[in-house]
Amino acid sequence: MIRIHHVVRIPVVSKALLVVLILTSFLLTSCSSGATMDENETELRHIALVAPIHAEEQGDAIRLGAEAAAKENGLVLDYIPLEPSDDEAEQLQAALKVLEKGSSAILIDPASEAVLQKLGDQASAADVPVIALNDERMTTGVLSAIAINNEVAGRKAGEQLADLLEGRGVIAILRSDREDPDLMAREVGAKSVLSEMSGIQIADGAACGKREDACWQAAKQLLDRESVDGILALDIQASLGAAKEVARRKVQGKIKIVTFGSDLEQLQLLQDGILHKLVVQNGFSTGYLGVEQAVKVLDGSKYDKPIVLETKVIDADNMFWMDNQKVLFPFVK
Amino acid sequence: MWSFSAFILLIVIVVAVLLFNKFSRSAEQSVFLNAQQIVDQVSYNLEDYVDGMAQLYRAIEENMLADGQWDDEQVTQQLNTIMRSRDDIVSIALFNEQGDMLRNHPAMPVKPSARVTEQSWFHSAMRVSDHLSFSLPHVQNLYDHTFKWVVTMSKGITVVHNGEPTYVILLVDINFKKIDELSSRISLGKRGYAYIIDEGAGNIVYHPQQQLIYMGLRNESVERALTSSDSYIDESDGVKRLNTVKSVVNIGWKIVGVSYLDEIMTTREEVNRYLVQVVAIVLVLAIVVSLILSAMLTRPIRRMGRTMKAVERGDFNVELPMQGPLEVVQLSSRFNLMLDKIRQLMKQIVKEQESKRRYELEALQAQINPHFLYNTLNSVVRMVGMSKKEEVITMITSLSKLFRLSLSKGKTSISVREELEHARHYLTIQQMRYKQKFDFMIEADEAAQSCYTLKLVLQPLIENAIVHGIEYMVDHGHIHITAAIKGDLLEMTVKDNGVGMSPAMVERILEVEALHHNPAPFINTAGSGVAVRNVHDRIQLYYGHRYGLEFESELEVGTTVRIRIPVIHDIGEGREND
Repeated sequence: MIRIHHVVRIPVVSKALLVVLILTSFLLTSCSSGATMDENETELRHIALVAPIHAEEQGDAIRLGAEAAAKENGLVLDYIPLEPSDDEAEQLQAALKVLEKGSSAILIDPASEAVLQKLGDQASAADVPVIALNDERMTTGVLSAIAINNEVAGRKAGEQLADLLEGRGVIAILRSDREDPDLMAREVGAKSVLSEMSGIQIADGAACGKREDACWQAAKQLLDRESVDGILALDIQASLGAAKEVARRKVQGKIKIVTFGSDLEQLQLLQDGILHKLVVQNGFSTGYLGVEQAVKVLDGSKYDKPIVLETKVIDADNMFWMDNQKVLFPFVK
Repeated sequence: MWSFSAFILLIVIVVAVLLFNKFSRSAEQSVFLNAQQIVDQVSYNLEDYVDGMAQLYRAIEENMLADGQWDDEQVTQQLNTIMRSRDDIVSIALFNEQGDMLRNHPAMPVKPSARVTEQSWFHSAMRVSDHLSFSLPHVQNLYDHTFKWVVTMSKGITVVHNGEPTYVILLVDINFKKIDELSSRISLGKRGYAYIIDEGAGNIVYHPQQQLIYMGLRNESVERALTSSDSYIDESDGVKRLNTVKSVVNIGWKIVGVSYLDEIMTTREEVNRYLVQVVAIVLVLAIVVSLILSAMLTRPIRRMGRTMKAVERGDFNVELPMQGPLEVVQLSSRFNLMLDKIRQLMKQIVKEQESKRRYELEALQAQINPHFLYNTLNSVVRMVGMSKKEEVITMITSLSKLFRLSLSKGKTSISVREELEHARHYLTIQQMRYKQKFDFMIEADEAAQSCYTLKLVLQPLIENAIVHGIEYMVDHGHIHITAAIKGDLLEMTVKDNGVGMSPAMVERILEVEALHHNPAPFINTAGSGVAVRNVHDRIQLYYGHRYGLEFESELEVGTTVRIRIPVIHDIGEGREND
């Protein structure tokens, strides 16, 4: 067999050069692939949380949850506090100020639909996502929402109150003097249950605002005016006012009170037998999930439905069940 | 050279892979070990803490219950001191079997709705007396407006109080300050952490993100931690984590250290990168070294190659220097020897060629030997004078044919037939010149006639036969020429019945030495025999040393000359050199 070798002669110098070049590129690529990005290079993203009006403990819980999530996701949470006397106008103002100052995303528990709409319009123009908390409405600019179904919560409350009264009695609803859609939904839910029960009459309720003891006064007038067996208090203020009046009249336990929230004061009153049932939503989860949603939205996820959280019914018997303890009492080391 | 580099690359890569495995394994092992040590450390610290708490509990117990008096001033002082010195004790309280509070510190009324007897710490103290039990984390439910998360130490003790044996339950609530401190001050990578579960049911006792755990926003895979006793890798949410488990013996807890594998993997990557760099550097070195080496090795070889190329181009006056490695020196010397040989051979060839040409020239010149021509023409003139018209024609014809044949278009080989023809014409001319002093006969078989031979081999022999053999004869001469194939030889003979030669003369004729040192005169003067030797040498030059002339001679009887050449059916065949 004959082999023919074609010998291509390259001068040695260029051969060596070629080798060195190849190796250098090899080295360079190996180095560049291993280069690590300094994590501190990028500035931390800011996410703003606008406090709810009448924040109380629910607001604190939301804030705690949001802060926990921000810490976990490596964000800075700018909490925009409100004065206790602030109302929806001030909340909107604070939110627009944050938008002007600049933030990656804005979380807000809006005082009203108007606040959410105005903020949403402005934010979508500025290309800043808004995450609504405790609000199912996903209007323009609102890219995600964490909410409870307030109507279902109201129905639960109505059922509980009817149970406490064993299906017979007069019920008054203590509502807020604010045009709060959440509270209205609760009332609608409760009424839809109660109106079906023949033994239950719904008396004229009362409304109260956020002024100190306003709700107590309202409850007092209500109880002066009507003889009621049960009170459905639609928010924390109302429940505290009702509890105060019931305790003052020493009729605690006789007048059944069902309400919403999980303030420590409410829990104390629940344990003392002045309040009877709490329909509890988890504020911490709301804040936590709100920030998580904000992160996902910023990463390009799209949501067209709100995340609906479950509510729980708590009473004096089950409030210290381990599962409930964990949700009701903030863990402080 | 490339194969050498490839070989080195292979070895380096094998070594690198082995090293990488070893390194990364040992790095991983050290990380595992490190995690284990850290978790062990936390566990020991917790054990110490729990022991310390148990001791503290005993101290409180002795202080409050030693003489059955828990409400005197001294006890209050002591409890104050203890409480002030510790920030992890929330409250101390003493209950009787009915759940009534006997004494507590800080002193506060227990709220009526607390339902003390239904609480778990109360149960465990009632169930087993004289055994200190630690509860799971729970919300303290004793006093108004405080709902703190605590771990409760409780024990049921029988004491003599006011002369009566009384069963009491001592409760000490501790908060998570110290546990948190002990558990969070660990370094398991950047994001690693440790959490504590109880060995009974896997409840989370402590977690750096306890609130999230409680809210159900975070999960830990406690099932595996419960069953495992050292480390395992868990991949619950796509992130690989190393879990290191250690039991805290005296309290029934387990501490689980969690470290993120991708942080360990960076170690692996670092090793990887480092090794890649090492490999690359080694490779560069290897290739540079191999380049240098091969340059050193191949320089003489390349020089050889260049020299050989020069030889190829025809420059034979080169010589390789004797330097470089031994093998190269040997090769060079061989090459030089070979070149020497080649040069010698070339000289020889040049000489031989020169001889050939000379002989041919001589043969040709012999043909146009003026002497012969002069004699022949003289004869012709004579014949013309004698009006021998026929003979003149024959002679002139023969002469012309003789010349034509001897020229033979410049070819050195002609057919035997032509050579015989040539001989015939020559003989014819000579016959006429020597006035029929001899007769001749030419015999050749057909096969032999179609063979080829060097031209002008017969004529000098015939001339020799006539001039030396027959001219001086008294009798009538006879020349007999044959051509025949004998085996692989073509044999032509020229036989005369002339005076013959002595063996010494025969020998002298074919003395090879004469070839080089006697430039043969082209006129064959009497007895020189140069023309004959010329034939012999030419044959040997053309066909090789096997062939040539052979003389057989006897004085007064005659001489036979045999020409031996190879049987050649083609022009150009059977030539050793030209």
